[in-house]
Amino acid sequence: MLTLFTKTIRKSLISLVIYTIISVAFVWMYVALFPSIFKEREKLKEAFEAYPEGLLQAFAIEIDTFVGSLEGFMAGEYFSFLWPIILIIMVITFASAAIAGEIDKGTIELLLAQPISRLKIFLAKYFSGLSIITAFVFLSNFSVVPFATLHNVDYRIQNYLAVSIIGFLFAFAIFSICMMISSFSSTRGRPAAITGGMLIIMYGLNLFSSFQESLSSLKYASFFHYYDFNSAVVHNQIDILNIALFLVVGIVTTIIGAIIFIKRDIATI
Amino acid sequence: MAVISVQNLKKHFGKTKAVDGISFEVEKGEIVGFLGPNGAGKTTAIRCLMDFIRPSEGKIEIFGLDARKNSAILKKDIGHLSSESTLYSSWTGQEHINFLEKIRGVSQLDEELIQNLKFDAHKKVSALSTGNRRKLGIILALMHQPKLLILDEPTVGLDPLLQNYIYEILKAQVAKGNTVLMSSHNLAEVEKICDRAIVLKEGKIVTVETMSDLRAKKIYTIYAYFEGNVPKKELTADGAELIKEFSGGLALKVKGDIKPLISKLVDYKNLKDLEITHASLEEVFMEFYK
Repeated sequence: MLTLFTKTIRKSLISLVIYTIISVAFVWMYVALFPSIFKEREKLKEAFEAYPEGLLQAFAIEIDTFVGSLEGFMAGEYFSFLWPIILIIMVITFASAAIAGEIDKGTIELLLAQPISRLKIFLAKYFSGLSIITAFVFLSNFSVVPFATLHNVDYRIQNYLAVSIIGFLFAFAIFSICMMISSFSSTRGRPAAITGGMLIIMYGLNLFSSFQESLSSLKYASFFHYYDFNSAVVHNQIDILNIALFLVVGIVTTIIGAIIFIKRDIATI
Repeated sequence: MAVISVQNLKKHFGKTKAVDGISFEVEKGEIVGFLGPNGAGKTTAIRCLMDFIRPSEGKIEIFGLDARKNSAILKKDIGHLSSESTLYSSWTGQEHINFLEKIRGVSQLDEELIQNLKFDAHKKVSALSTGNRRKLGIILALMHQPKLLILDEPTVGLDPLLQNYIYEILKAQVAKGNTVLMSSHNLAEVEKICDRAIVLKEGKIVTVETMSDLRAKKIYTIYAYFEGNVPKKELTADGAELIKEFSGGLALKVKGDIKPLISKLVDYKNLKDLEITHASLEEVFMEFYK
């Protein structure tokens, strides 16, 4: 199992480096921008006050904190959209390739012909993916520290830990769902398309719920509601319900995925 | 105890009966060929043996153990070559060998196989020809000297010299007491190296016979030459099959006892000549697919 785990990690290392470099570059850009934002905060506050309230709500922007602290600025610029998008793309890519990708390419037969149980194959793929996600989440988020030091910006490290935890759990749930779909798929595109489609719908539900009062309950059907980056990075708070939901979804779909992979027929073309 | 014991194996994909109730055994030290055209069920049966796909019905035992329940344990003693030899395109051959060595332990045979197959282990798989990919697949299947080899079309894409080398390797494996089950649609290949053939047609076994029994099937081709009138109707009336007609004679195929037709033929005063030949193995084989 360890051999397969390290093989998968090695195979994903270049992608991890690329995704991390992209995220770190954005972090650097936003941290470097922040001193000028902070300097012009009064003018920016006035400008923001002219925006519709629903729009600010939709992107979880709190005007005072957005212009008044690096954490607020990062919440509005980075953790609200850019970082989760990079995270989601990476998670879906890894999970789709893990099982369905091997079947699609036909290489799964080489693994299945070895004296390793299917459960071990699944777990090796699963934990290597989780390790890659963990490395990405912490490397990208904690890159704030050296850049903030470099640009003389105040930061609260514990808040980045909080947003990393909720971000990791958000990724864990998506990864587990995509692994489950990957377990019953035979083409790499299928889990990517289903998970991607599901997340687009969830994003839409979360967005609409903040614009229309009558649709506000729709947010509960969206992972983006439970990915409360604002509370984490601005206030250093994580709602226990959010943690529980992501954990339950992640664990249940992982178990279902493992059972499907153990029981299914695996025939390459 | 048979190395492989298959009882009433069925594998249905919806309405398609890929394998439909086959039973056979493979004994220790045998080379057995799964013979049949594309779609006969060879690969499906092999995938069931390897536990890649699960039977709809039936029982498979390998070395006396249930092939599904003990899949991981059994694979320590099984070398497998898939029909496609699909490998990791970004890896070299050596990386594949190293990967399997980490799982199965150090191989004593890989260097010898690489040398004899004239394989460049340092090239990436994406840069290898179909034949070279096949060679790598064979090295990976054989390098841990398994007690049982399950090979799906092992010589596809190889030149005749390499095919012969593979035959030598398989014979050497059997001489050591190991067992080989291989699928092929190449009758000449099966005839050359197999002890027995399991002939499949549309998911069913049509016959399981030793190569010598298969060859000894009583199918004859009779060429009869006449002066003047050729008694076509009379000769084909009793089950003899007309293969072709030519000026002054005809060719007939006869299954089973040949004596009644010979007696009939020699009664014709205008019979000029008679030529009787045994059917080739290929002709015998084709009989199963009519």
